Amino acid sequence: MLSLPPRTQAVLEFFFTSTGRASFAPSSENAADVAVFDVDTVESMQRWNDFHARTSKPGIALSVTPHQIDGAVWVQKPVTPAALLAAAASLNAGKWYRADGSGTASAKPAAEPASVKPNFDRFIASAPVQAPPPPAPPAVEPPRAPARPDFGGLMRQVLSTPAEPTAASGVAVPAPVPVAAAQVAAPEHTPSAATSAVAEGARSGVETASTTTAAEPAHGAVEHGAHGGEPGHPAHPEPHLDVSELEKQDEALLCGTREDVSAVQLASDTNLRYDPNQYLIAALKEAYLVSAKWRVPTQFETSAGVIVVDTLQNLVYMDFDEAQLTPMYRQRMAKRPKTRVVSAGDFAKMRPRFETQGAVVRADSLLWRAAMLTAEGRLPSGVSPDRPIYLKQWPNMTRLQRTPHSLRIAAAWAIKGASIEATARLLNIPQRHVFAFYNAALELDLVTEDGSHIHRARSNKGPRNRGLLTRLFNWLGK
Amino acid sequence: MSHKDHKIIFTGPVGAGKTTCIKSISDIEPITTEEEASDMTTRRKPNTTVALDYGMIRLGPNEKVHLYGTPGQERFNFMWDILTKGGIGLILLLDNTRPDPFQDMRFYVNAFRGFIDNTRMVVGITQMDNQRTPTIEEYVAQLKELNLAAPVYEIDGRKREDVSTLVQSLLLSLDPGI
Repeated sequence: MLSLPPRTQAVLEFFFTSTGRASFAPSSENAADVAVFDVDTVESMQRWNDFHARTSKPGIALSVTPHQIDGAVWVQKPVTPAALLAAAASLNAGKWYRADGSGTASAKPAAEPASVKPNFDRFIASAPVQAPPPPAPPAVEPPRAPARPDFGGLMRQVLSTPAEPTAASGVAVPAPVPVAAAQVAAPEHTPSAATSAVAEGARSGVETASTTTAAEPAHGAVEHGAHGGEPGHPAHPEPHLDVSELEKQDEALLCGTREDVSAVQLASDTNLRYDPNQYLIAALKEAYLVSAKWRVPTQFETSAGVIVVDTLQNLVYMDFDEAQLTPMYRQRMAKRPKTRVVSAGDFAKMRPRFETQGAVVRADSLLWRAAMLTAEGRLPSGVSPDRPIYLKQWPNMTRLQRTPHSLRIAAAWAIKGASIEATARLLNIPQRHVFAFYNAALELDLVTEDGSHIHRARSNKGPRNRGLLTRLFNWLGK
Repeated sequence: MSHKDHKIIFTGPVGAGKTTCIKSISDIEPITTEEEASDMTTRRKPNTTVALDYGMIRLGPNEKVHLYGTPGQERFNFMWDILTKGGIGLILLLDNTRPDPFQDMRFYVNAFRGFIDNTRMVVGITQMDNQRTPTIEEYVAQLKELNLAAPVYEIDGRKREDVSTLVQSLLLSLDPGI
């Protein structure tokens, strides 16, 4: 930092030792890779000119108004952590302004998330903040570009082509940038709750809507308004991915595309109904329930191979590629395979085969998803859309595929109960979303028409602030 | 213009992930008051929260939700009543690798029973990838014995989405109509 105003220096020193420590490491002028200077301060500009002429190294230019300065990335004052991190990413990518127009230049200000911009100055402690001794400049590693979720993998599974390995979403973190620091004594930084000396945490991760891994079935937050995370700071341009289009495809697979129908039509049209007992899901559910009841693994045979369900570990083992299951979900079975208990000895002999030639996946996730793929937007035969539905317990929603409005439906059925038809109407959501949730919860044995446990557990609660709850809910869903 | 302040309480035993969870959803860099653990806590982690963790969510220019993480050791339980006063609800985090997580759950449910009865609670189970039992169903059964019904989720406190789902479920438990 080159002759920065004391207040700016204090802010940056605090930032470099807290939120920004992964991206910045203060160092002496001789060892620095980047200089931070204040365009609005004469002495700082002079020192920058000397530094840049001597070393040709880049810098971060701080000023109130935009500037195109040769060799520098401009950051607007008041400085924010997000802008500094973005500047670090630009520097790592070699994107600074070049007066001769060579290379990749960026005269635009460091990008920030579109949110309330905090004024860093508000968080400065009254006492001068002293920086710790400048550490040795760390080795600069090329940042790892974040991988994108492979919705194409899901489509390939559906179309019975071999699933390609998919990458989990990653985080691109700018490599630490050694920064020329003014020579200061080695102080202690003492955080204090009273001074609120904190910086905005800039989240530089990408939490995408759906992540498919080789080990687990696709687990996605398809629920509208329930996506977490913010865009990160990739070092290299990423190809554009139409996430919304892929989400729609996933939703169509799990919920179907049928528009709402009347109660009369639902009761009379057999195309809107299916019998789960005629499909593989029935065998999976039986194996799941038997395993849960007797606390032992259970197995059954399919045309593709053997499936073992172990609810104690919440795992399903198969000695074939999991991708073969998806088309099997939709095939009517002439006869349901028989479920039998697996002895410990037999299971130990089978395990190497599962782990080397087949797949091991979460049992609850598999059943949940299998139920929706089997139903294809229909309701099971014999289920009345007018009778109240309750949940025995909330599904484990952090690990199950979330379809649109699934959390709201879970809440409605866990807290109060409601019929399928009323749920769609009261929540003002498409019936197919309610059907999908119902089918999935049914196969995990979470659904009941007995609401006595809810009535017993209900007690008087204090008054609610619906406005606050709604605002916070929507904030979390961003 | 008046300021509106609300709070959500994170509690649970030492090492369950309170600090990490708050960090995942806080709008600000959380304030933690960690010290080197001096007691049996050292067996689980080198540092531990001795006062409380603090994070914050900004809903708007004049509205904040304060996130408080209670210290895990029982000797700081005098702070719990103070912290819960006026709170929206409770997030109980349990570490599945602890020797007796059910005992942990019973302890914290009893300690915060009045607050839970007047608001709502959700339960997040951490470290399930390292220790698969007890299962979620077993936790639910234990809650039933305590005459409670609450969402119980497997979570990774480092994942914002997991913590966000936990809090969203707390809010929906309070009012399914939001």
